[in-house]
Amino acid sequence: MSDSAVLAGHLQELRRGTVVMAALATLHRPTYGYALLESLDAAGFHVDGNTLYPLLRRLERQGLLASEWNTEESRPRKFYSVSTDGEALLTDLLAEWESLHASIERLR
Amino acid sequence: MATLTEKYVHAVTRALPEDEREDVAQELRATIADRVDALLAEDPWLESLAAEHAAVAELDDPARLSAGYTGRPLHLIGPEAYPAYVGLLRALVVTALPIIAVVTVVVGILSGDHFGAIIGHMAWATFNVAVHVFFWTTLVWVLVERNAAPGKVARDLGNPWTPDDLPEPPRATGVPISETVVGLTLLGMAVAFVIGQHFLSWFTTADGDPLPMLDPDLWSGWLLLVVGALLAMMAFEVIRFRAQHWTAPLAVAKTVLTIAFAVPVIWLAVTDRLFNPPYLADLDRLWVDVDAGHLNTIVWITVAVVALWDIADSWRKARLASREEPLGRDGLTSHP
Repeated sequence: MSDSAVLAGHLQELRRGTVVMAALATLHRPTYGYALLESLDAAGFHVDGNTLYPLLRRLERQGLLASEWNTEESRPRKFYSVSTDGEALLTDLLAEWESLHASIERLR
Repeated sequence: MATLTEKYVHAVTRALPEDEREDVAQELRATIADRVDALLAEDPWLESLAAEHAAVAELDDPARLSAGYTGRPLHLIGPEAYPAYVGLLRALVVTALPIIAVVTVVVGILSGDHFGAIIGHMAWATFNVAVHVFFWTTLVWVLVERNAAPGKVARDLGNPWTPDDLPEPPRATGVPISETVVGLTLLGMAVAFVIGQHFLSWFTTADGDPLPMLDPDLWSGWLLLVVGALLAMMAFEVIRFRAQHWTAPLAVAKTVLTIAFAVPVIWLAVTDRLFNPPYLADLDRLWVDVDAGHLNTIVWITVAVVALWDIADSWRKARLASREEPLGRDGLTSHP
């Protein structure tokens, strides 16, 4: 019944805010930008690099992520990991997510 | 020559604050290199330069990525400021442009320019003012947009919207008495003018009789039709006020009456038969610089514009009224 283009548009809207949750959830293990992009992609969160990389910087500026340069390998990479504040935010976001889901189920 | 990666990194980071630039650049280099490795692993036949090209292309326009890092908006005027921007532009355009147009035409007539020159000056002056209005308004808005804190743009512009700003909707059902009075007055003045100009005039003949402004020969036919049409329009105003409602038949009647008035007047003016030739000659002597023949042009353009407006307006209102029909008197839908 639902037109695929319409569905795709709404799914994109719905997923936009979830990228932050997915990134915070993934980054309990320190990871660099491109690897995070690949693991998000594998988990079904298709996010463009030009969205994700600035997003990581913004989360870092907000104190939700910490970062560290890893220069042990031949290619220096910036590793991000979730901070205590980031963990707390993720918990809050997940609680909100659950309550939204519960509300919608009740409305149905 | 710099590599594609270096060119891209430079394009992205040059607009960033000094202290972030090198950090972002290093990360971006590693990211592109990682992507190139992944692409080469997927397709061993790919050349490394082609892989670099593809990796950079995926990151898209550097201006977009750069704006992502700085948080700068990628628009001149955002949705928050847009309604106020368009509102101000509209107000300026509908007030300033007609004033400029009228002023240039009056100045042109007073300084005795040719008809073509007057129209040319008016078009050029109006166009210039329009360009200035658009440019300066847009510039001010862009500066406000860039300097205001997010979410506060509308407040910085000084007038957040309130329900009191709502304009009256165009009234299709219900004809206000003021509209009828104004219409009857104007039509009455027109009738009085057409008849009165025959007996009262600025100019006199050699015998001392008043010199009519409109050609007296027209009284045998054309002017009677014009006066008849004006009287019929007055009757129409009364009928429409009593009906209190625009309908398609009323719009047809209005169209026929307007055409019955406008077409003879326009035709007479265009063929230079409307005005009394001795009257124009006297006028020419009085206005040294101005060709009295322009009166014909002014008359036919004015009549044409007003007539077209009247006809369009009556049809618009008739259509609105037909749509409003299912609404209750208080404007609320009467659903069961």
